[in-house]
Formats: sequence, C-alpha cells, structure tokens
Amino acid sequence: MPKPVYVFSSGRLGRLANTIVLETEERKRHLPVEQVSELYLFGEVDLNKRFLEFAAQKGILLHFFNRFGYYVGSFYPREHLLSGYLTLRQAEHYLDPRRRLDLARRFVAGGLENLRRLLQKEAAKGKRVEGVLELLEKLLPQVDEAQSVGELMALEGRAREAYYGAWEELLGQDWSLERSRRPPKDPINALLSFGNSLLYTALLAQIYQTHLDPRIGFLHEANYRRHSLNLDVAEVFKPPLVDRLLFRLVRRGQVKAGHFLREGEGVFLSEAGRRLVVEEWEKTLQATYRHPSLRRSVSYRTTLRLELYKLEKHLMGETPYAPYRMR
Amino acid sequence: MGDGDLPLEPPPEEPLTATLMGYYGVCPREAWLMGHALEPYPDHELLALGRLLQETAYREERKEVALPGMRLDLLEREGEALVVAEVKRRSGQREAHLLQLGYYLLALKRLGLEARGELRYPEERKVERVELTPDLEARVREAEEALRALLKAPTPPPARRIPACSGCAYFEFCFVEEVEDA
Repeated sequence: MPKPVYVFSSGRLGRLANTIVLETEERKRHLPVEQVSELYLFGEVDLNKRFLEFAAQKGILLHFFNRFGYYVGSFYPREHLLSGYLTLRQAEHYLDPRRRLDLARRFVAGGLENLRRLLQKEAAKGKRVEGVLELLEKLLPQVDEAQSVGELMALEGRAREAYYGAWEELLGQDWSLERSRRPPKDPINALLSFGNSLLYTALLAQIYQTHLDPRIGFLHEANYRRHSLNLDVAEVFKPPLVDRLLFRLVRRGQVKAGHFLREGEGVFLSEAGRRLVVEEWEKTLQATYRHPSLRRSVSYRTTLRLELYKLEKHLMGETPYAPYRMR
Repeated sequence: MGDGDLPLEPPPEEPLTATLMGYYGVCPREAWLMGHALEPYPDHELLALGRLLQETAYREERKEVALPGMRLDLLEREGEALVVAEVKRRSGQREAHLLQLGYYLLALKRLGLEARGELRYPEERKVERVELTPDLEARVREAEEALRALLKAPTPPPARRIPACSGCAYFEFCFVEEVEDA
C-alpha cells in the first residue's frame, strides 16, 4: 500500500522513468512511484511542471510547509474519482440549511464527545479535570439545540478554551496552553499547530481516495478556505490522534526545549523536532486495532477513510453519520 | 429523506454496460454503486491484481474492442464465427460471468452479429464455451430489466453479507458503522 514520504532535506525533486528522484547535496534517493501516496515537503525543494504532471498522473498529493513548519498548502491533483451523483448530494447537504446544520452538529458533538472521553481517561489517572468535564456535560446537550452553524462554532470554542485551560493540570506548568496561532508564541502552541496540520493533510489525502469534494465542508465555512471538509472531520479526530500524541511526547520527555526555535514573536519546531513529531505521528496512524463492525484489523489511517465512508452513506441517505468514538 | 430532494436519477437513456451486468450478477448493491460512479477504494489489493491480469494474461491475442456499453477482452475469428472471450481471475462467480458474457452476445446479436463466447480463467487454466441459448438470452433480458429498475432507485439496496464480500473492495464502505459501547 502506498505511504506518505516526508522530505526534510533541501534539494531537487524530479522524475526518472517511473520513479521519483530526490536529489540532495548528500545523496540521490529513488522512490518507486507506486509506493508513494503523498509527499510532505518541509525543506527547500525545487520541482518543475513536468514533476507536477507526473504527481498528478499518479495521484500523489504534495503538501508544502514553510521554513517555520507552518502548512502552506497542498497540490491536490485533479479528481480521479468523480461521481456526479455524490457531488450533487454533497452540495445539496451544504445548500439546505437544515441538512447542513444537522451535519455540523454531528461533527461538533463527535468532537466534544471525544474530548469528554479523553478527559475521563485522564481523570481515571488522577488528573483533576472535573471542572472541564462538568462544562462538557453541560455543553453536549446544547449541541442539538444550536440553531445555527455560528452558534455551534461558539459552543465548540467555549469547550475548547476550557479544555486547553486544563492542559496545565494535564501536562504541568511548562506546557500550560493559551492558544495562539499565527505565529504560535510558545512550544506547546507550536506542537499543537504542527500536529493539527498533520491531521488536516492526512485527512485531505484520504478524501482524495473517495468521491467527496474537499472544498465543501458543513461546519467550516466553505467560502473561506479552499479545503474545509477535512477541517470538519478533524474535529472528531483531534482528541484521540493529535492531542494524545502530544501528551505522549511531553510525558515521555521526548520533546525537549532544544526542539524549538524562536524567531521574533513566534516559536516553531526545529527540524529534529519536526522529525520526532512526524515519526510518532506515522506510528499513530499505522497502529492497528480490531474494528468492531468490520471485525478486521484496521489502522488509524484507514479509520480516517472509514469516517469518510460513513459520511458518504449519510449524504446518500443510507445511514445517518455517527462520528468515530474514541475508545 | 425529506422534501426538497433533487431528482437524482440516471438519465433515462443511459445505456447499460456489460460490466454493470456482471456486477449485478454478483451483488446488486455493487451494480448500483458502480452505476452511480462510486468506484471502490482504488488501492485495494484485488483491484490491483485484476489490473495486472488485464495487462499480462493473453498478451499475444488480446485485443480490447470497444462497442457502446462494452469493452471486449478478446475478439477472435474462428472460421466464419466471431468468438468473444471474457477473462476472469477465478470461476467462483461463474453465474455472473455468464450474465456479462451473455450480455455481450445479445448486444452483438442486436447489431446483427452472430457470435459465440468463451469464459477464460487463466489462473485455473480453464476455458468454457458459451452459446447464447434461448435460456441464457431470457436470463440476460430479465437481468437487464431488473438492472434498469435498480439503477433508478434513489438509494442502493442495503448491504447484505454474501461470500463475495470478503474479497470485495467495497467491504469497508458497506459494513463500516459506529458500534455503540457495550
């Protein structure tokens, strides 16, 4: 099965017959194209149109990050899986306010439910998070009463603020979190932003393997960002995949002060820091478990795609979408 | 489904295809999904195998011939007769293969061409001769009607576990659901 390739070094990407050639100062790497699903480009990489055509032809996504490790954008090749039927269904669910609200509620409820589950696990380990848990119990039923997407976003924002407020209790004073994004102003913000962008891009790559259009989201405004469906689905997976990964990295002492660099107001991950997070992220996505309804072993990367299948079945009018539940 | 549904039917004159007929013979849900251009997961192992088989088996004599709604694996001449061959990996779904091949033969007959067929299973080293008997023709016509009706339905027929599911690229799509906590 094709896998993502993460490129940290700087150099040149080219095509040689059916392989991708990455030429850096130290060496020349040949990547058989059938084994690559995505390229994550962190270093300064030169490439040309001929290479982009090759990537498009082989259905390989390219994700670009700037020198601070901030996500810049993706090269999303022309859709290879197109179903006019499903595209119309997806647009219909966006255009009809009742249906859009219904889906947006499901994403928010799924995200909050997984936050709750994450905190319950932490409480079981003796962390004092009763306050946030109580708030979540109070907010969860309000999701179904919210009358607009804006109201839902506000609910979600309140829950998240309280949740991030508990990170000091969860991770200790050095990692207390007050969210700051552009730029992240401390290490924990830098980690969280980087982790979230890995989730967004991983989801985008899975959307590419389905008939869904990544531009049409339901919770996140379709007009403001080119891709918004991946942001919607990410709500459900941030707690179990990204947040838990960061907790592990901090608690095992894997991330260290030396993994961060400061420039002006911003703090960002060094190359070693990025390598560490990416390595652990891949382990997370490749880890497998026995899926309860499929009764087969599936990876968490596959789990992302399964979530999209459930969404497709919702849009088709088959089965209402039930978000992934953290276990 | 509530009010405001878009009329999402395939255009009325949408021609059936023989492959769709083959899917229908295995699983009507698969035929509905393929008929709505909802192809399965492209990186599925068996799909990749099928593509490989198409590229490697019978390389010498293979001629892919396209006619409306049909892409014939092999088309040969045996004296006066035209021979249409369909290449499959395993003979387990022989009934469905018969329907697909029968559909080719019927379509050719409608074009005024007399032909006989062959089902070929290179991995099993097996070749079966197939004639468009009145019985096979009746079965193909019946399946054609049923398939047309099926494709007009707004949702696919529900997923049902059949032996073919275990190797099917739609397996995950069909059977994924969120199981409530015990």
